Amino acid sequence: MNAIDQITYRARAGADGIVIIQTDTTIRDHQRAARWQRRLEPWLRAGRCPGCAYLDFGQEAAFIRFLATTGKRPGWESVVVLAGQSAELTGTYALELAEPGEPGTGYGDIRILREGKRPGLRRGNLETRARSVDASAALIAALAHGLQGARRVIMPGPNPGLAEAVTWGFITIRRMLGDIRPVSFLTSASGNIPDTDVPGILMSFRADVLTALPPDQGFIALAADLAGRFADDPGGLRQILDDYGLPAAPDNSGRIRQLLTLPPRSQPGNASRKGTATVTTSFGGPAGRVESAAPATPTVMCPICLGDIADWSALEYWRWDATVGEGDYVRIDIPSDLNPTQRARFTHGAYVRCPASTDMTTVAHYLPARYGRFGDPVLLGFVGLTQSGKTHLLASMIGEINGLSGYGMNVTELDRATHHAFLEKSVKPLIAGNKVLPGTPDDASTTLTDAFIVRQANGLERVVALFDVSGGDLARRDSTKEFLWIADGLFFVIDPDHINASKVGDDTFSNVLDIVSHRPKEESAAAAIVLNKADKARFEEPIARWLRAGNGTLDPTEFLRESADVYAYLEEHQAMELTKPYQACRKATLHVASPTGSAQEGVEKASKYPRGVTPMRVLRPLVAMLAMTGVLTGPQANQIGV
Amino acid sequence: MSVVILSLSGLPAAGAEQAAAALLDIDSGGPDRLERLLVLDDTALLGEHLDVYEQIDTAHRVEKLLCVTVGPRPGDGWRLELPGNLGGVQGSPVLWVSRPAGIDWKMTKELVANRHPGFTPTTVDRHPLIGLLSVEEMFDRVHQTFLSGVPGRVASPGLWLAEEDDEAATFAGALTVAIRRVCDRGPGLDGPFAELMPDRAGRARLTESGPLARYLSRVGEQDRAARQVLEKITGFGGLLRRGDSEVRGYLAKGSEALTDLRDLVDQVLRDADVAGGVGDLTSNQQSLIRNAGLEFGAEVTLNPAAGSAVYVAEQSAIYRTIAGAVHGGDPIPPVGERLIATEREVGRKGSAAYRQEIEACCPSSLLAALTSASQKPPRRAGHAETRHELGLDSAMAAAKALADLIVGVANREWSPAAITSGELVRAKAALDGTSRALGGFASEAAGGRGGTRAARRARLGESLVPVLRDLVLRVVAAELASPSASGPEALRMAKDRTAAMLTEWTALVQAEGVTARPSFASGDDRDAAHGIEDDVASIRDALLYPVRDEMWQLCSPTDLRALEVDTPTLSIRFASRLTQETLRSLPGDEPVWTSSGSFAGVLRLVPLRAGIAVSTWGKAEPESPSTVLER
Amino acid sequence: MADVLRFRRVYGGEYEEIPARVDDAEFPAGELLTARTVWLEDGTPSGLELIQHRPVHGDRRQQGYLRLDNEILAGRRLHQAASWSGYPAEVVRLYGDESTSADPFALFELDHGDPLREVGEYLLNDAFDQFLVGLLTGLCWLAGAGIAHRAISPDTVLWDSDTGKVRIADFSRSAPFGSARTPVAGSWAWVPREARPETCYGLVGPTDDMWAAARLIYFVRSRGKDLEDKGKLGELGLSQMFNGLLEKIFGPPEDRPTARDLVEHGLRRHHILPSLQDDGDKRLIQGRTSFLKTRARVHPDAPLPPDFWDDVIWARDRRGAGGPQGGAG
Repeated sequence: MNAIDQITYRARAGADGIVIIQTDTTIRDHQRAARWQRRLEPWLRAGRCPGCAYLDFGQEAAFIRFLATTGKRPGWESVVVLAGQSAELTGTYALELAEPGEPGTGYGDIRILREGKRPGLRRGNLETRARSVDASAALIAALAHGLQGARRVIMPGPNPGLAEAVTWGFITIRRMLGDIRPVSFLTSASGNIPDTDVPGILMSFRADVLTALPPDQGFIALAADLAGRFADDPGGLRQILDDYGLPAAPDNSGRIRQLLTLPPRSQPGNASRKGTATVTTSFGGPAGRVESAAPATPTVMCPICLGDIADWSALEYWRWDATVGEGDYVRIDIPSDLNPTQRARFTHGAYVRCPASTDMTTVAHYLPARYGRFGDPVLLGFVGLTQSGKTHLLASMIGEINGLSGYGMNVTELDRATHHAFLEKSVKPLIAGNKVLPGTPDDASTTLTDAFIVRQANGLERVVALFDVSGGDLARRDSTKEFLWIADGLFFVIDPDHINASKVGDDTFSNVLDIVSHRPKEESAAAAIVLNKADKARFEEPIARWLRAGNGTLDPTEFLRESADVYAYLEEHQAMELTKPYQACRKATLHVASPTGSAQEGVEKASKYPRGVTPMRVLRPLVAMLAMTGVLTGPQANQIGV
Repeated sequence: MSVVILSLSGLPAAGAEQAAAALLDIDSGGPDRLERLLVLDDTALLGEHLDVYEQIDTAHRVEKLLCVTVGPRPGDGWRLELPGNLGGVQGSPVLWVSRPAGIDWKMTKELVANRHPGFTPTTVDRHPLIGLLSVEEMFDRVHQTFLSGVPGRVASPGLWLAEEDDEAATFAGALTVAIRRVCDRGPGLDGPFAELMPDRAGRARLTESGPLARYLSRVGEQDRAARQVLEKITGFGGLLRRGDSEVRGYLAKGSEALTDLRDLVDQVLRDADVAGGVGDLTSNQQSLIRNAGLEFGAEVTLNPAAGSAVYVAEQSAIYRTIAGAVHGGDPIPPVGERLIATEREVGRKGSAAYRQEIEACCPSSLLAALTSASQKPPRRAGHAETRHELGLDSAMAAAKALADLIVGVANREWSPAAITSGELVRAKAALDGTSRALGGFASEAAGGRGGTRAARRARLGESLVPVLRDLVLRVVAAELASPSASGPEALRMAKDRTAAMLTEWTALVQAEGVTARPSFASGDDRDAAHGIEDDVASIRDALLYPVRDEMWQLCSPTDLRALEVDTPTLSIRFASRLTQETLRSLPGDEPVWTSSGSFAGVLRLVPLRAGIAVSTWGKAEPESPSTVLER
Repeated sequence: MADVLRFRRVYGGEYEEIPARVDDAEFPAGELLTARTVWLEDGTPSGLELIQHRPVHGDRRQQGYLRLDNEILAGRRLHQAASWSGYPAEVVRLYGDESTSADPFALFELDHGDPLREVGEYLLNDAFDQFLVGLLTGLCWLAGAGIAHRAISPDTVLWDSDTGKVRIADFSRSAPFGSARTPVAGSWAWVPREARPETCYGLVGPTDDMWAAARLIYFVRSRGKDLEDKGKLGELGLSQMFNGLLEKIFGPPEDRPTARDLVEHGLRRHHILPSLQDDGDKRLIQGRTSFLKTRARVHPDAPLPPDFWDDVIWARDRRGAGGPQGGAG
């Protein structure tokens, strides 16, 4: 019997709509032919001409070529189907075959049977196009979805020829990675694609889809790296993947870990980030099931106890359960046989417990599960004298955090519950209620106020954590002191009323400055010196001008001018002590900001802001800080703070 | 003999009888004659007052009786029961006023009633209808009309009265109309006022004995002398050569004179220059101009008797120009714009700026040619050709051009009579200030306008326009007579002056009526009759009012169904005898010319539908309403 | 019983309390401010008469606060520019303010004169010259104070025909140089393109007012007409009068001449004008220079951006002369 059979179908308009009729086949067994038609009919109706489909049913596979249409549904007039064993009739091979009517090895050619393993006539064209710039974006998206474990991928329908090349490249790279899971595809699909269970991944290109569902940035970066290498040198890619043991990886997450260890490409556009995890590690299995060969995710420091967490991906997941007693964290048991999507659903909104919690001396404390998934979080603290307005600055900053999109940043809260709680407790009362917020209690320890996942354009995601530090005597509390040693950035918050020698001599500030100035320069925190409550000096120069300067841009000159002018203002008021961070820190800027836009009425804590609350220039210090800590990158961002 | 009123309304039977007796009984102080008796009664009391009416009937003293019964129909509200001697075929006429306040109603089958604005008299005897019927001529005509034309002799009266406006409101409204005419942007000429342009207003000329005129005439003399010689030469066919030297001599002298003229013009333009044209001539410059032989005609010859500043101002060219435009019907805005257009033309730039034109008027090359020794009259050339070739024509033209140039510059730059930019701007400010003050008055008046009829307002407004124009011009004259220190001050002064004159005018109107003429109105009385004519016009409107149109019908909306709208409408027009002459030619029936009262208008009598009015003496039902009516 | 007004005298005095009689009748002062008359007790029988501006009540009060701040900032800056003395007669004078309470106010000396909208078309030739010099001097003072009025029009510029003085009023939309331009609502006849809501861009600078000022000069010269195209400037002799500079005002703000340019190079007058931002800029430049020295120590390899000094008016005016000495770091 033929290893690969051929069937021809035609579409006819019948009383009940379109009827698909088998007109010819090499299959002698009528029952088998009928079974193929039943199995293929929904796919025949889903496809369009020009285009093709490959369906890997496991043991068997079918390749459908849709031919000349009259414009009537189902979008073709006749189809030619090749049906056979999946091992014989692979997706790439089927694509490489010459189309009906084309000369050379193709349909109805007996040589298929004997020379089935020989590269098809179109292979060269397919490879060239798959490596072309045209195919790059679609190929990266397809690979990213694949790496993320998606089962059904719908792609925008470029021209069918390009779709075939992208699909060919996609399957080829997956095979290089050692991923042998079945791949089915339709290069020109209608809206109603059957979801009958073809195993593995099904990729459909649809003309009515404009953009594909975006995968996680981390996967995009990896996919881009692979696609780039493939475009440069497919042989080289195969070689390096073999060298790094990709084909031997036990599963997808193993493959991803291995991919993260690839050395950087020399060409621009390299997305590999040596040593820094940029993809969610929730695909990693529980501790113990990780291949010992696979490198562990890098150490993340607990922002609460400041202890190191060695392998974030090995931590167990917890969920806050309000029904337990007065509410407590309960462990989440994740079945081991879940696919990645199911697992992601399971762990959504989960927390991890800091390992230090097991230490008898440390109170159990938990962090959002995503906290450590984006590499080292960026820790930013607000320090300043009591009543300097740290809490208000932090609240108005978070209230306006979406304004970062104006600088090309995408911001999402790290933990919805924490963010919501802060909005309710501080942001809404201030911005909507015009209420004066209570200051940070002197005895409070340094606490994580809120955290965000920040991404610049299509860059990498970073976690940015904001800490409100008590305005009391920092020297008294070791944890706070410790925080000053490890913080990535510090906002030095100054009240214009405090700009005089006596206040500058205050322990709090001098202690902070003392620590900051003793950190090695290259490891020191970035500093943003904020002349806060600047509305008090809104009629003075240069305050008036900078308060009215709007949101501004990322132009480093603008940051430098503001820094120079605020520096000059402090100098004019003999407050040079407050400019020390500029000299002590690796990078530093100076700013004016007004979290409320006007002064409160009276001095009572419970009083209000009679003019309403209109924050001014509160995002500028944060933007500068994000640039100085590497969250924002690029030639302009790199110049900010120097 | 006047109309006697017997008011029974509100009186019980006894009281009514007593009142009637007092009137009818000759011996107990009743009037000698009762030619016209107007009985006022309440519809609801007619039944109670049957005896009174019987008494009137049997007293045989009343020649003509009219009854006005007030109020809705009693009982089932359908029939109007009347005493036997009222209504019907033989009874006295009855005017049924079912609602003294009445309604506004157009006589159609739709029977749609609108509320009638205005006050309602508290007592019937003060109602305008009663006042109207109290006039003898009116009483008689109404009585006669009922007897001759009103079926059943019962009708609902409707009134259309010529409005008696509040004088102040009328005046304010009319003045607003006039202000719009005078102040609103309307059609008018544009471009500068030619009569104010320097060449017309400057009145500069060359003094006959002055150097400029002398040089000019000398050029002419030499030209004439040369012409004579040339005629001889060309006359003898150019055979005599002796004339050549003579011609050359004249040419040289002419050239000298032209050179002198050119130099003098140049010197005066240079030395009498005022930088940028801003500022006045010094006394030296004035004498330089005078000595060069320029003089300026006096603007007006003033009548020494009438030498007031305002009088002088009113003789000025600028005033006369503005007055001409305003009296000619131009609204203020275009007149103001023309003043500004003129201002752009009269701008001074200093006489030195014109020196460059000298060369164009009299080219140096011309002077050189005239004095050239090689000048010889051409042989065998025609006379005109010879003049041209010798440059005589050009010399004359150049002299004329130089004279025109210096006179033109004198007009624009030096003439005390020329209109200055400042005068024009102040005059514009005065016009605008007046316009703004008048506009303010108009907007206030518009806010508080009474019920003055638009037609009357418009007519009266028209008659006020000339007086208003006098006001505007008086303000302009005042500004020209004592110029303000600045344009804005001129604007302010004009506003104040206008406000003061409006106050004077309004007060006068309150004292003497809308026909009063304020002090600033010009002497002629072209509008003397505007007041009376306006009133007559208002009366004419009333008399010509279509009788079936909406008017004040003295009945209630519910009683409209009782009125017969299909029959031809009977109406009586009335007006004061004072207007008889003016309105004699009015088309239609002769109005009633009343000897007293200020009433004018139309009384409409709408008969009742058959079967509504029933005349009876007793409580017994009449056979049928129709028989009663047809009897 | 007289109220007591607590306010800060702008010559730099601290808050002081002075009994005052306050007129209850309020009248509008711009869109978002109301005004009323107050008489401060100064020993004279009638007291010192001033105008008090306050934010409107209701839902636009917050905008009113900002407008009032603008007036106070402009007033204080003008006092500084005038070195607390010799306050320019060409701008309305801020007498004092109370800027911290929930009901803030500014006290202005009485405006003399009428809006040019009312009287501009009646200025005689000699008055026009006074107007020109007055307006440009006033604008030089604003530049000297580092303030752009941003609402110059026949409604905000007054003419006092008794004294022949221009007075620039209503600073409620003014802004300091270097601040971001915010859109200005109003007639396009008086709002330059860079400040219109649809096309607003850039930073406020010393030529922001020149566009409207040039139109105002035409308005008065043409006796009340709006400028339709700049070709008409020649018809009224303005092109020659300003030596061709006036036309340049209708280009982008970066290329416009300043008020000082118009006086010195346009009218070619040697008029006594306040120097542009000298004190303010000198302080700013000294401060920045000091910062740059520190920066050079901390970041010895960091170059100074070439456009660093571009926002300093003092440097602007001397562009080509190398900018501030020592500032180049």
